Amino acid sequence: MLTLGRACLLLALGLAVFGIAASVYGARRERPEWAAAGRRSVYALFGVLTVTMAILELAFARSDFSFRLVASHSSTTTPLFYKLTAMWSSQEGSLLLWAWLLSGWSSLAMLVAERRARALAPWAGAVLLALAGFFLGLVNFLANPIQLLDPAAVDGNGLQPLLRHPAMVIHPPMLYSGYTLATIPFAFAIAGLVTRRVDAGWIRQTRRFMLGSWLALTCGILLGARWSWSELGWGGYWAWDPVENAALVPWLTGTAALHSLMVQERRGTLKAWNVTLALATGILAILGTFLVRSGILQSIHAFGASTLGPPFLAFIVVLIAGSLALVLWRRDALHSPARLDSLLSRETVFVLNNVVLVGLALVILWGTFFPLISELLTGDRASVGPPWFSRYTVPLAIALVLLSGIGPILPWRRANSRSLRRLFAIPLAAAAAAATVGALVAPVSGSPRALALFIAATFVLAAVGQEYWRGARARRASTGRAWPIALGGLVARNRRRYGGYAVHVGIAVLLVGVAASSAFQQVRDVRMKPGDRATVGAYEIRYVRPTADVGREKLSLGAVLDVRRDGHRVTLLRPSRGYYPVADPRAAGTLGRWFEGESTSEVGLRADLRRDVWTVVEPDLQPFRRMIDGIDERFPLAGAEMEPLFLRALAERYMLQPPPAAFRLIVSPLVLWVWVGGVLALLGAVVAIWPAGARRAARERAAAPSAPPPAVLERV
Amino acid sequence: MLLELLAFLAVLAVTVRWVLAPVRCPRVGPAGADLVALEVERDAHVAAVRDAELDLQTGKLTPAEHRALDAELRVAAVTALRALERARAGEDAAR
Repeated sequence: MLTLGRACLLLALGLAVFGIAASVYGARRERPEWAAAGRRSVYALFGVLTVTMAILELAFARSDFSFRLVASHSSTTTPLFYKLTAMWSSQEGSLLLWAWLLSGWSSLAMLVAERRARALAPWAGAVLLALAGFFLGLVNFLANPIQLLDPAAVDGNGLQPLLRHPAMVIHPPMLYSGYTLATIPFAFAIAGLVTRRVDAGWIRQTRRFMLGSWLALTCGILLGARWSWSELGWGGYWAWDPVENAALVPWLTGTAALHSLMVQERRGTLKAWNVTLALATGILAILGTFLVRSGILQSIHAFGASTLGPPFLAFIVVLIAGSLALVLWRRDALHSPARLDSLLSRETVFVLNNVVLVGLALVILWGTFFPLISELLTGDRASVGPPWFSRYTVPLAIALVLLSGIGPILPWRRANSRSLRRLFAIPLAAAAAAATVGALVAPVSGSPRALALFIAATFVLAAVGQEYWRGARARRASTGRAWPIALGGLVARNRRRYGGYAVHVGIAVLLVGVAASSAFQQVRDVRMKPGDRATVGAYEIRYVRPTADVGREKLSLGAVLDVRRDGHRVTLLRPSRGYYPVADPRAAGTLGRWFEGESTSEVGLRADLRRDVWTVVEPDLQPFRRMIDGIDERFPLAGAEMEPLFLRALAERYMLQPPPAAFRLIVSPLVLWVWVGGVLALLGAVVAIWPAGARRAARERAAAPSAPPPAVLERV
Repeated sequence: MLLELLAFLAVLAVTVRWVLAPVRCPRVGPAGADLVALEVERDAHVAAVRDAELDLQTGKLTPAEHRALDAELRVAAVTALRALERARAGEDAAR
């Protein structure tokens, strides 16, 4: 299967090159048969890459260690679920996944464009194939996932312990789906510029892909955050791996684009801005992959040592220069005739929201790249921390939340002052009530930024709630149906609008969770023995007893913690530390190898709507050092049958003579609302992206030459 | 190894044949116009009319404001609809 897999990878590259040539030739010479061959190359590319993926997955499932990738990222003891997803824990597998997802989404885009956008399709197809060709060049020549290991290993290294988490299984495909979906609007924007068709046609072709990208990125970011909270030693917001910012930046520009594209669709304006945003989002998606894969954020030296960094950088420079040149070349076609009618209109709010979102993206981009810039200029690596990010992002986030409440209230074009007073009355009253309560209640009153965000979020909840209520009331008046049916009908008939409003509520709720859990979080680092107590916030936590578990892949040493509030038991938590052995016992000893490999934290977590109590433990293993060294010395190469005995002896001693352990105890208010808000935003996006069956049928009826115009125009 | 080679040759043959099929046997037909821009324009105007109705029902627009805006939007929508019909008729005639 190895030969077939490698040959398929080469065939895929050949298809990409042929498809580019056929598409460009077909478009330039107006030869539809060549354009069709180019389009078929996209579909065939997806088919061939699917075969390649299947070959690799089969090798992982069968633990075929003649595949180098399988030997280095899986093992016979790895559960099947993780075997099948281990491919994207590697550099090579990730790049193949990128190319496969890109070919899949490109096929879908071509299928949609084939009939309705014949002028744009060949150019868009050529751009998408060029992107796929770049990644296929990398996987064929620099990071090939299908390499022979000769002789084949007896067993593999296994999956990296930190990645053995359900969220981490879905996190990379979600982020990569988001990135690759963002390249579809990028390709159609390029096609629009090349063909001078920068009207709303390219937007129609790509709007759902942009929304799909947003949905996938949101899901990926949330899963990454959840993993960080429940698996990693939580360091706080902005203290995560800086590559996580790589997904946040295109998410922000994509969010901006989703709003400004609506303005162009409705008013024919913002053409240049929209094309630029689509191009920027596509490039930032590739930049995100570059940041993760090149090692550039670790240091310039890591980048220099990476084989992928330089070609990636060169490709991004070409994309930026080419995009800029195209925009400048077509600047006359990008001139927008229409202007905004009034400052008090929905489109004005959309423009302001774009400014804030792009501002946020620039701040995060600067903060992420700052260590690199400082190293380049001064030779010293200086980085900016959470206070720097918070200083700039918090005011912008507050402005964003406020705008997400103002936008739904305002109509398109213009609003009059009388209706404005009526429409703003309830949201402003709710915000004033939140301000009053917040100013009186400690500790909210002592944190002006958190208070401002709570007030803004209350405004959004009231504004959007009012919109749903007014809409459902109007629908109920016209149909005479009950409230729930009227509300359902309102959303079903206006999915984009009311799905979008739900996203606004979700993001506001999510930011309330972020604000509360960062402003009012209480953290204590303590060292305890069984019987010791520590307090964090209003909680008293007692170390009851140690726990130990010997598994096939992992040794777990932990603790049972009794969590009490006002003398009453709240819960029992069981944080633990998992130790994974290094593969070679000769390197670190029979028992020592279990403590020289990777170790992970299993968080002891109690979550409810008001607060999370979060604990991790790190046992002090120094008292066991003599025992471990003694066994390693006396039984340097004990067989597999002896090792569990030694481990059980160690676990028994840990239980009988428990050493002190270091604990991190966190009480974090409202953090559950981060996930609730995120899920709400995702549901809203699903509603917005869902095809409107009735409307589509009406459109198809209208598409027939003999059909009457849509019912809404019948009165004309 | 031989089996893999044969499998690859089969994949290659099917792929090449299928991808090049439009070039080998081109179907004669009109190049066709891109109607998507006109469709977008029509849909945008139709959506604007519906939104204005919803804005009236939810109290964002007064009846007088709605009448003026609605008349303007309907004229634009009908103009876009007629342009789309003309383009479709032209495409059918070319066919």
